[in-house]
Amino acid sequence: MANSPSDLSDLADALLITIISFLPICIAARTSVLCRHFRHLWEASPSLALISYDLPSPRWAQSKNFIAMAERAVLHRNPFLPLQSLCLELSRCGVQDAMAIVSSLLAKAHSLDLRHLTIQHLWLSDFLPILSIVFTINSLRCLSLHHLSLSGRSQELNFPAGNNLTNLRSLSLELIYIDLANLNKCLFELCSLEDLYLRTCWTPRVSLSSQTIRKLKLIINRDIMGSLSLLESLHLEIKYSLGKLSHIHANVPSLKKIVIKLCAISVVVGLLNCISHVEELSLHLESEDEKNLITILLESIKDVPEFPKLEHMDLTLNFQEHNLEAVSTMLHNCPALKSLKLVHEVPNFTGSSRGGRKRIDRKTRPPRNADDNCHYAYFKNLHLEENRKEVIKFVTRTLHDPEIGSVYLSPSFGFCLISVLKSDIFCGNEQ
Amino acid sequence: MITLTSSDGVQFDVREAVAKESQIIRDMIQDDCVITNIPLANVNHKILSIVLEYCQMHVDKTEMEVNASKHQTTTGEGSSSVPVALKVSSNKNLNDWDKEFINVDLDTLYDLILAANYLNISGLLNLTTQAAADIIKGKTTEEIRATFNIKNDFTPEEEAAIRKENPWAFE
Repeated sequence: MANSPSDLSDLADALLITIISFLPICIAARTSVLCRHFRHLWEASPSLALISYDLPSPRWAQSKNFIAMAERAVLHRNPFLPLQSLCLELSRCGVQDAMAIVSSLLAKAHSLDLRHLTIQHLWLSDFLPILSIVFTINSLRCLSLHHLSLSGRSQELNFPAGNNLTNLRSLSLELIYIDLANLNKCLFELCSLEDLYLRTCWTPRVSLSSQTIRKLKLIINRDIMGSLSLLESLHLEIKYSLGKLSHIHANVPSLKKIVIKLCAISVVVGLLNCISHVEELSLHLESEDEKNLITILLESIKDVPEFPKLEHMDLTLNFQEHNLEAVSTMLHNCPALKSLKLVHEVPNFTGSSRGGRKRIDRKTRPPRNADDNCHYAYFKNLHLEENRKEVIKFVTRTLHDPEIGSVYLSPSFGFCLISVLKSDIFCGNEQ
Repeated sequence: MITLTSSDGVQFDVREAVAKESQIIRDMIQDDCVITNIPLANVNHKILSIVLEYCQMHVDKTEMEVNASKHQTTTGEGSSSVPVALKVSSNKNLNDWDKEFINVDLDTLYDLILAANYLNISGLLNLTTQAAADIIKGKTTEEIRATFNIKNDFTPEEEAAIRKENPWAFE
């Protein structure tokens, strides 16, 4: 029979430390006054998040208190307690203070064999001194640099040459400007890097080259060029391209899975080369115009290509008539398709981005159900000929009969067909 | 099927995949592949049934996703053992399910933490310890002591001295 603990402190210290490590550090530190047992527990937490805006102090004292917190929690840490993860958020920290404290925190982190490092919201006139220390911490597995802003004239962040991060698996960058030549040189040196996330809003053309990256997530505003020989999974978000045209020139022979999210883009040039041999394709179109899916992606509607390996397709878009036709056309060109997910999304543009011109709300066609709401339909086992025929029939039929919603919940379909509200609440009649 | 016996002698028959959510059971099965009955000396039947509910849900959800994203080369719907109603409910976010699942009284939460730790179910351990942290968050020191039945064994002077050590944490 398990002996039920009568209170929290009956749990083993390791478990208590795990619990405390989920707390923001200033709340964790407050556990030191609970009782003698808790006195030093928080100091052993393997993951520390030093968040300047979390400090309970008045704003003028936050910089000073951040330093006090950093000194207590990291700089005075017992050198025999390894630190797994450190997150620094410095938005409330003065520029002069930040440089000094971050440098000493990183030096200490180096000696504690840090694995995961995140630095957020740091304003400096020069990042090289800080990054030079970061790039010596060879125990690092994951590194995130988000919202590092240069306060001087120069706007590009430079990575130091010659780095020691031979164990780094994952790199995450959210930066306004990126010097791509510099970044590519850095990527070349990161010999274990498998996972890269890059978000930049003012770099018009992103070009990447790597022999090691398997997983890539990009949020960019126009063009992407690249040569990534091992890339298996790509998540690509393109936002607000000027001229609504986006170019993709990528050599990605190993790509298996692609997620594409496009916002207000009319044509993507070169995408087909990337996606024609993937096994999983997920498309999310937020288009202001009621654009045809195929013209956006494939530049031409006349010639829909084959997708010989495509097994899973997931489409989120505004299902106008022509888009349903496009789905039906694509179904004919995906011989290996096994599952298909359709999510209907009515674009919701509140701003008057097109000179105040009002959108004409056409009556949208399915997938829809009785509640006249955004919808979701999921078809599987499409490798069975009869199921595939049924879906094509369904798509074509809904083209001509918007009231079909109730029909496709019928269990007589012989395969899984679910329609739920977009909010994921099942609203159909289970029979 | 694997039979798990709770500390108070209640037997639970579960699918191997469900039992294998526990690292310790996974290791036992790997070491001794004919094992079918595993006694669990540290978990009573009440807690074990909650733990198994968690494992069952997470296995079903994962299998659902595999079914959805991977092929089922066998026949159509006949081959699927998951009833339609479950498929529908599993569309609901697993996180929401977890949130509802962990809404238990403190004693049960302690027992679940211990069981998750003993059985080495990392997802459940994460969920339960996070839940305990969430209870601490947003409470004053006095409230935390009261909630968790912690007796303050500091003298007022000692407590004041500790507060002074880390003024940034106490405003």
